[in-house]
Amino acid sequence: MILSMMRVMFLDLLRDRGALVMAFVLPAAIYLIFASIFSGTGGEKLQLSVAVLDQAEDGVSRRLVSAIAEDPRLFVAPSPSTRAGLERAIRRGDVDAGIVIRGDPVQSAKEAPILVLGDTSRPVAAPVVAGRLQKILGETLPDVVYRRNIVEFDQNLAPLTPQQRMRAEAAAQAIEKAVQEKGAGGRLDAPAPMVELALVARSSQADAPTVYYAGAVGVLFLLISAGQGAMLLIDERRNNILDRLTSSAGGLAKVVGGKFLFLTLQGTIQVGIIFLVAAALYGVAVMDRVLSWSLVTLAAAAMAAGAALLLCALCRTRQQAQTLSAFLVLMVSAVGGSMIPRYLMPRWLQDVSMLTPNAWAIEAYQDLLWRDADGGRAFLYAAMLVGVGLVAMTFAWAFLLRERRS
Amino acid sequence: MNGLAPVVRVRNAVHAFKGRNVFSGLDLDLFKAEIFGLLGPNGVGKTTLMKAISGRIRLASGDIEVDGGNILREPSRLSAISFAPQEISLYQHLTVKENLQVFASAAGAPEAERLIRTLMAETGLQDRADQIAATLSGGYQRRVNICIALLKRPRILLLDEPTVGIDIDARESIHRLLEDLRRKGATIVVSTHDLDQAQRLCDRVGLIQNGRISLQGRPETLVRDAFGDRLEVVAELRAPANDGQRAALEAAGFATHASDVQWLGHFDPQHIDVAELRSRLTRSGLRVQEIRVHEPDLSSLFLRMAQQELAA
Repeated sequence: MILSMMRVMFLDLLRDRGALVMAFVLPAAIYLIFASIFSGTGGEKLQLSVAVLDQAEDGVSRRLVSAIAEDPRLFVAPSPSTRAGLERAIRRGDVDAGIVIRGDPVQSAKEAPILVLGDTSRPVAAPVVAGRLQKILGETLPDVVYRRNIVEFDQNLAPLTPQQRMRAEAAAQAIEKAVQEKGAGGRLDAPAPMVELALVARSSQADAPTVYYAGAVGVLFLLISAGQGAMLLIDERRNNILDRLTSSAGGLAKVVGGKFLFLTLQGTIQVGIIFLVAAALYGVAVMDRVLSWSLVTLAAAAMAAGAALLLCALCRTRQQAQTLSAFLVLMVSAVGGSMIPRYLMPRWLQDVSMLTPNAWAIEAYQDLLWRDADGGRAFLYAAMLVGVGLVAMTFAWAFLLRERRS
Repeated sequence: MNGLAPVVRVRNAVHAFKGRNVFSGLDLDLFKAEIFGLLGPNGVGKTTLMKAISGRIRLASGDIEVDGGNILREPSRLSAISFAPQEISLYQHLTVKENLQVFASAAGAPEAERLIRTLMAETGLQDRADQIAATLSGGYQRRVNICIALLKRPRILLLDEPTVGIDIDARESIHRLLEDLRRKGATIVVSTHDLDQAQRLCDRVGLIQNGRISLQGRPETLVRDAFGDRLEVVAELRAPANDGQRAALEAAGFATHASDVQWLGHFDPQHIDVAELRSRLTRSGLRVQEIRVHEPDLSSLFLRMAQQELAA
């Protein structure tokens, strides 16, 4: 009987081409879109577009403009001729940030010689550009930085003697000459910086967002597809099919159990396809922890299956089920991090999101495939997901039993 | 019935639904190898009675026995019963054969494949075995609906409106199927609004009225008991009768009417003179379209009962 129920649901899916595409092709396609959008936003491959307004127009500023243009992390867009034009370009979103070279970087004392303009809609862009400028100045125009330090020392700490100024200028010229000898884009072998940035080694070659969204999109579509599949239950009740099936030896438990198993299997395959794409295109290391991954995936699919059966047991019409399911799926997916990464949410919302199964599944996948965690917490999340699925399925069965007896 | 023990025995059934009494002491006996027609208007409890007999709903009080055993105390008795609901209860996206396989599995039918082949042959479905249910005509869908009920190989088959919404050929085909099952010893209960069908198909009929079976027996016996040898004369009018003309119709012997323009009377065959009747009615100002004479049937009986109840 359980196998018969699974066969009915399989044929229902197989003979509805739209549902088949929805279940197995669309999730992978949506994942590819999300992954393409968010991969490379971790900083390593980030390229920001900037416009540069050179108000100083001297030798140093031209060297700086040239160095900015050669920086691989910055894309220089055609630059407006006025400050107002630059601000308009930022407001319109033509560029992520603007750079204004206001005066001689060495002599300007009252205000910063270089101004970075940003927009509140892209709050991260301006600080990143400012950081890149510091790096460009240090590596490509070290003579300018040296001269500015000498000027500051001379004016603010201890005035230099004419002889000391001459020796300092000679040193600056030597640095400048050395840089020029390196050619265009030449960088001086500077002493070690005080602060150095390094990323820890990871077993995964994938970007964090590609792992994140494989789980996030996976659990989102688990909920959608399970809800769609479980709606057959509503038709079966309305057409008295369920009454016929459960009046004989089969029994309601076997009918509900068969549906639960099919939806769990369907969900596992569905998420499997998404991670297969993630592994093939983005190097997500599913195969390294395939057993743990399978466990979490089965658990997430069981959660979606149980929840969908309960929802369809509570609704009397497809219309009711579709409306309620759309509302619930959107809500738990938005709060649970299936649409926007949880780390971008306010702290309190991150705490709330941990009440959703989406967050449990996403965290479990992150632990296994990105954070190199030992799996203990992932198994806990998997147990919670299975628990929700089994409890929901039991409630669905109990509700249908009560309905049948009434 | 001829001193035989009933296969199904319903005694003093009482049931209420949403505060309304459906049965108030209903009794019914069903016998082996008979087709019993359950008659009555909508909402009178025909489906409820079938569901109670098949164990789907529990009566407030009263007993239902199958082969002498109470179905509540001995639920295994229910294995002899199968119920086919009025709705087409099958998976529309599956083929006929796949539907039968699913329900055979639910019924726990042994040797399901052979049984399905046999049943498809018996119900004339073998040529449609691989056709998707949604593409079948209404008549064939009804056949599959009944065929599913037969998967249990029941001795007692309860069919709720088995021929509603299908054409005459399909109805005749289902009648032949039911008659064949009766020949093989099955007890069949058919609920229907179609009195013509009940008269032609059923060995006995029962009318549910006011929570009880108010009338039951062989259709021809019930009609003969009510009308004797009299024939039914139907006067079709071109326009409804006014009060004076109504009096003239009643004086001429037309005591009941199916509508404003269709009046019925029951007359001794020796005293029927159609020309004289037409002339008499025309003289009273009635515009007579047609006068027909035929033998009374179940429709005549139930129309008269309904009007007597209305008058009371």
